[in-house]
Amino acid sequence: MKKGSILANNIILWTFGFIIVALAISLMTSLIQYKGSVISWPQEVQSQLVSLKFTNNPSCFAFFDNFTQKSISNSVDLNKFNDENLVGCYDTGKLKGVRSINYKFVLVGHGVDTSTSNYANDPRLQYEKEVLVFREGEFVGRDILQMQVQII
Amino acid sequence: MFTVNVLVKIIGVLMFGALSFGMASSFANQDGILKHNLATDIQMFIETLVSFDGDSYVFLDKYDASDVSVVLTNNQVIVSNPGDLENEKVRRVYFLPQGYQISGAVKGAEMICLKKENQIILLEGCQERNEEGKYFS
Repeated sequence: MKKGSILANNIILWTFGFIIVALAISLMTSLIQYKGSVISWPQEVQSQLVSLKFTNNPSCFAFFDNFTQKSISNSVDLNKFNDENLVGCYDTGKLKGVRSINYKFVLVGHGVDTSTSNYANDPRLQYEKEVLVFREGEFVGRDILQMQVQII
Repeated sequence: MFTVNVLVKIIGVLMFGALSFGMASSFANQDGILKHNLATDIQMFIETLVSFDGDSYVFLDKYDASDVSVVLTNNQVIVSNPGDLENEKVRRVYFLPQGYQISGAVKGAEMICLKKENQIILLEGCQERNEEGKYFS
């Protein structure tokens, strides 16, 4: 075989190989991106859903009315608004090395705050909502609950 | 004419290409997507269930779960296919308030349901519908 013919064969072969590999890599990249987009949930939705329990569940901050035996939605019982009680509601510290959503809660009008075990003052999202505030079983007024969300 | 040397190179390139395409398709397999979405949906439903008073029943009827196993532990939901290695199982973590109990394991169920009664959350398979279209476990 002539030298020129061998060279031409090699060029065709390497070009063909390069195209196949490039196609495979681009296909793999786009499939990974597609899969990521199909399985990902917006962080805002996740953090909002997880945070529902804090102001609705009496094991968290929500006020429990002993008379009706019901918890009040969107309420904060100031007696429960502390780190100790929050651990009983949402203890992210008990699992090590696991991705979790952590929160800092600030009751703006009352100037008090509390945060979950692994909160490290690096919030990515922030929400505010109006809550009903109770103390010693009595309604004391409305306030703004600010939620700072840290997603590890 | 191709020489033996050139033929070997062509076969090598084709094999590498086939390997790359195989890897690409395994990265994007549908089972993986189902496992991730099912695990996240269950996690979010559990978070929602503990946020409200009262008993509830959730039907996850958009998934055909007959090929997967779902296990609930105190802190996580684990979704896997038969024969999955530990790193292939999909896990989602949740943190429940004190007093809540959660359990359940389902394998090969057509439909998956979550039942909340008082402070107990159970995962179970549900397969039959009644005349109103509701599922029974």
